[in-house]
Amino acid sequence: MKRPGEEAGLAAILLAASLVLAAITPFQVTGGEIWGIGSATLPIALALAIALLAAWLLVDALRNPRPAEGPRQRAWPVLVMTVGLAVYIAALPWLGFYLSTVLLVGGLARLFGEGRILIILVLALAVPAVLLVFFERFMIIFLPAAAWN
Amino acid sequence: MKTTRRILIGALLALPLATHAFTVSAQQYPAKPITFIVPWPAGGTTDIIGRLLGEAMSKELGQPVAVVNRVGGGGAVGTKAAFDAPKDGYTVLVTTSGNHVLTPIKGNVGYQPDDFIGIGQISSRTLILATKSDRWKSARELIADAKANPGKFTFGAVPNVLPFLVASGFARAADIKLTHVPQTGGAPGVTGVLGGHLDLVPESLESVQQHLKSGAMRGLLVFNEARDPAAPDVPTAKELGFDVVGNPWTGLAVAKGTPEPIVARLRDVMAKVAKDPAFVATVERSGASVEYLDGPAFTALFSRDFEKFKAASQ
Amino acid sequence: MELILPAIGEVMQPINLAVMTIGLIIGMAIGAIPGLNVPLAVAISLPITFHLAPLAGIAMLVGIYKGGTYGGSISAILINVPGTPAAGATALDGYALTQQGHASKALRVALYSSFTGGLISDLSLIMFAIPVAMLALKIGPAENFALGILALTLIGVLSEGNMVKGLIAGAFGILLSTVGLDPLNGETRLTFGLLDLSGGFQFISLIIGVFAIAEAFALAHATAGRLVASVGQRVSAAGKGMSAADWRLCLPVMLRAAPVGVFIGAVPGLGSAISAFINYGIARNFSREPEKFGKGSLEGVAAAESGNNAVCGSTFIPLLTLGIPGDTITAIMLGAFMVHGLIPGPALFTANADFVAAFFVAMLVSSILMLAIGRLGLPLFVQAVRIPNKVLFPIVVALCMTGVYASSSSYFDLYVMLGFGLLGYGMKRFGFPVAPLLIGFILGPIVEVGLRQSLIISRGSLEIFVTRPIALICLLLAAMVVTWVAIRQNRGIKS
Repeated sequence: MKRPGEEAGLAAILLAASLVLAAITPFQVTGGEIWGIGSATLPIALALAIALLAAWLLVDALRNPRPAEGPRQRAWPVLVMTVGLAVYIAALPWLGFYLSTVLLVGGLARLFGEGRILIILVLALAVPAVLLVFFERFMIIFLPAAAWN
Repeated sequence: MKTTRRILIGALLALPLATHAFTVSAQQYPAKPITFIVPWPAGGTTDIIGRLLGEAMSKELGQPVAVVNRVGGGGAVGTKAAFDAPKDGYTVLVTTSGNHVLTPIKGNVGYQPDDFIGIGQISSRTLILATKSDRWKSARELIADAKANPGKFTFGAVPNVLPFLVASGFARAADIKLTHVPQTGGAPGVTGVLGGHLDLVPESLESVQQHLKSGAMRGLLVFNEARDPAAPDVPTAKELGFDVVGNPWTGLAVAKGTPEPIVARLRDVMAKVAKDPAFVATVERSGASVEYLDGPAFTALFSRDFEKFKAASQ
Repeated sequence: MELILPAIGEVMQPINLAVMTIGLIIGMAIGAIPGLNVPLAVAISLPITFHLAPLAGIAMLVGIYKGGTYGGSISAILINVPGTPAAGATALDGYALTQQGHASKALRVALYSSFTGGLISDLSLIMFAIPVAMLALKIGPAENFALGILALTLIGVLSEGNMVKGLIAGAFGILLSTVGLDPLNGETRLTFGLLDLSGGFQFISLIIGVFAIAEAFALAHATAGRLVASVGQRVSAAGKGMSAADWRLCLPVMLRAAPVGVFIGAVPGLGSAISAFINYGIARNFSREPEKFGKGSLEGVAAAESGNNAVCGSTFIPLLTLGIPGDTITAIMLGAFMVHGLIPGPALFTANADFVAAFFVAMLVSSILMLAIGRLGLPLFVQAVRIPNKVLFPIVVALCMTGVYASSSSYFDLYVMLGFGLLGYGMKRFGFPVAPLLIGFILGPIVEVGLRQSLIISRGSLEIFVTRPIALICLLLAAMVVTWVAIRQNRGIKS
C-alpha cells in the first residue's frame, strides 16, 4: 500500500513554519540596513529558501508516495525521555546536582532496558558522585547545589 | 555481603551531600567557595584577569574561587546572573565598562550600573587610534586627508564598544567622516589594518603595542587625559583640541544589598592582592597591566561613565 | 641549524618533558569530556603555567592544545560524544565504525591522522611561516566571504543522493547561526525577547545534542519498552587494527587534508572545527566510495582528524610572524612571548632565534609525545566498547548534561541541548543528513560578516568580489563545484 504519509506531512509543516518565520522575522530585529542588507536579510532569505525546498519535498512526496518503512514503532520511550530530561533540568536548582542526577541515571538505565536493580543502584549512585568530585574538586567548577543548602 | 553493599552505598550518598553542607553567615565569611562570574568568553582578556585575581584572592580568603563564564548579549547575560544571585558575597562579578555601563545604555537588560557596588578596579586601558605605518604620519595628516575624501577611509571596531565610541567621537569632534566597518572582535580589526583591508583601528594600546614596536603600525592618538608612558610619542586627542577621553576598565563588583562587612572584607583582600608585586608581575605576563582603584573610587566610575557615554552614544 | 641542537637539549630537560606530558594528558581528558574545551583548559591551567619558566609554560600550553584537539576524537568515536566542536566531523563516521565493530581501527586512524596532520603543520610553521603569513594577510572580508561560499558548496557534496533534504539542513544550520546579536550592528535578532538567547546558540550544545542526546533518543526508541537486553546491544568487539589496505586508503586522505588545515589555521578567525568539516567534505568529494561517508568511512575519520590537528601548528604562523593571535590560545601565548622580551614579527626569527628554535622543537616533541601517549592509552580507551549500551548511555547523558552545564553554568543551554537532541533524532528518523546542518552553522557567520563588511568597504559595489584575485578564484571554484554536483546529481536521478 502506498500512501503520502509522514514525509508529506513533515514537508507541509516545514513549509508552513518557514513561511511564518519569514513573516515574523522583520519584527524580531532592531538593526537597520546598510547597502540593502540588514539584520533581517539573511534570516528571511534562508527561511524562504527552506520554504521553497520544503515545497519541492511536498510535491515529490505527493507524486511518488513511498510505502511506510517497517511497522510503526511506538514513540512513548522518546516522549518519556524528553519529559524526563526536561524535569531533570528543572529539578537541578531544587534537588541539587547529586540527587537529580541519581534519579536521571537510574531512570535512564531502566528506560534503556537494564533490569537488574543492583546495577541500576550502583550506577545511579556512583556516576553522579564521580562527576561531582571530578568537576567540583578537580576542575573547581561548581555544580548546582540543592535549594536547602 | 549485604552490609558491604550498604556501607558502599551509604558512603557514596554521604560524600557528595557533605560537599554542599555549608552554612552561611556574615561573621565567618567566606564559609564556602566563592564564584566569580565572567560575562565574557574563557581565555579572553577579562577572563584571564578574573582567573588570576580569583586564584590570588582564594589564597587570602581561604576558600576556592570558581570562575564561571556566562557569555552573551554584550555581557548582559553574566551581569544579570550576578545581579540575580543571592546577595551574600558568594557571587562576585568580574565586570568591565562594556557589560557594566555600555550594555545598559543600549537598552533595558534588567540591571543598571548602580545596582552594583565596586570592590575595586584592577585595570584600566589606554585606547589608541592606530594605522599602518606607511599611511598618515600624524592625526593632522589624517584629518586633512579625510576632509578631502569624506567617507573614504575606514575604521574597524566592534559596534557599540568603547573603542567604537571614541573613534566616532573623534570623527565628530574633528568634523570628518570615517566609515565604520563592524568587527567581531578587537584582534580582527588590528589584522585588517595590517592586511590593508582597513585604514584605522581604535584598540587598546596593549593589543597593538607589539606592532608599534616592530614598526608595522603607527599610533596617531590616545584617548587619555594624559599621554601614556608606554607610548610617550603619541599625543592625546585633548592636546589636539578634541575632548574625547575613554578608558575601558575591568574590576570586581557585587550586587547592591550585599552585607557591608562582606564588601569590606572583599575590598581589603583585593587591595592586598592588587598591591602584591608577585601578582602584578603575573598579570603582566598575561599581557595586561594592573591599574588599581579602591572600592569607593571604582564605584564612582559606574554612574560617571554611564552619563558620559550615554551622552556620547546619542 | 646550529640553533637546533641546543634547542633540543633545552626542550629535552626533564621538567619540560614532564609538563608537556601533563599538558597532553590534561588536554586529552578535557578534550574528551563534552563541554570542556581547549580554551577553558588553557584558562584553567593559566595560573599554573605562569608559575613555570617561560619555555616550560609554553610547552605545557602546547601540550594542552595538541592533546585537547586530539582528545575530542576519542569520545566522538567510542560514544558518539564529540568532546570538542572540531571532533563533530569525526563522530559522523567514527561512531558508525564503532557500531560495526571497528572501534580499534577507527581510533588508530584518528590517532595517526592527528599525528600526521599535526606534524605537517609543525613543519609548515618551521619552514614556510613567512610566505604563509603573507598569504593569510591577504584574506580580508571579501576573501572570507568567497572562501565561506566555496566551503558552503560542500553542503551540496555532502547531500548527494539526498539533495533537497541536505540543502534544507544546510540552510537551517545557517539560520540557527543568525540567532543572537547581529555581529554587524550589535542589535538582537530572532531572540524572541529572551536574554538567554542573546548569546546565540552555543555550538557545543548543538553538536552534543545532535550526536549524543539524539543517539540516546534513538536507543530509547529502539528499546521501546523491551526490558530484555536483546535490543541495542553494543558490539563487544573492538576489532582489529589498521591493515595495509587501510593505510593505503587513509594516508593520501591525511596528506591531502593537512595542507588545507595548515592554510585554515594560518588565517586568523577560522579554526579547527571549520578545517575538520571542510576536509571531511573534500574527502567525500574525492573518495572512490562517497556513499560510505556518514555510514562508517575510515577516510572520513582520517580527513576530519588530520584536518583539525593540522590547524595546531599553523595558528602560530600569524602569531610569530605578524604578532596576530588567531585564536584564544595563541592570544594567551602572545603574552608569554612578550614577557620573554620577544616582539613577534619578521625580526623575531633573527633577534630571538634561540627561543623560537626551542619553541619549534617543543612543537615537534609534543607531537611525538602525543602519538606515544595516545598509542599507550588506546587499549584502555577501547575498553569502552565492552560496556553495554543500557549501562553506557545513562552515563553518557549524565556526562553531557554535566559538561555542558560546567561550560556555561546555564540551565538554558541544557534545554537547548535537549531541543537539539530531539532535532537530531528527528532528522535521522526522517532522513535529513546532519553534516550540512553543522557546516551551515559554523560557516554562516563567516559568509554573512564577510559579505556585509565587503559591501561597507566597497560602498555597496559588488565589484569587490571580482577585482580581488583570491576572492574571484574562490567564487569561480564554488561555481564549478555547484555545476559538477548538479551534473552528478542529474546522472544519479536518471540511472
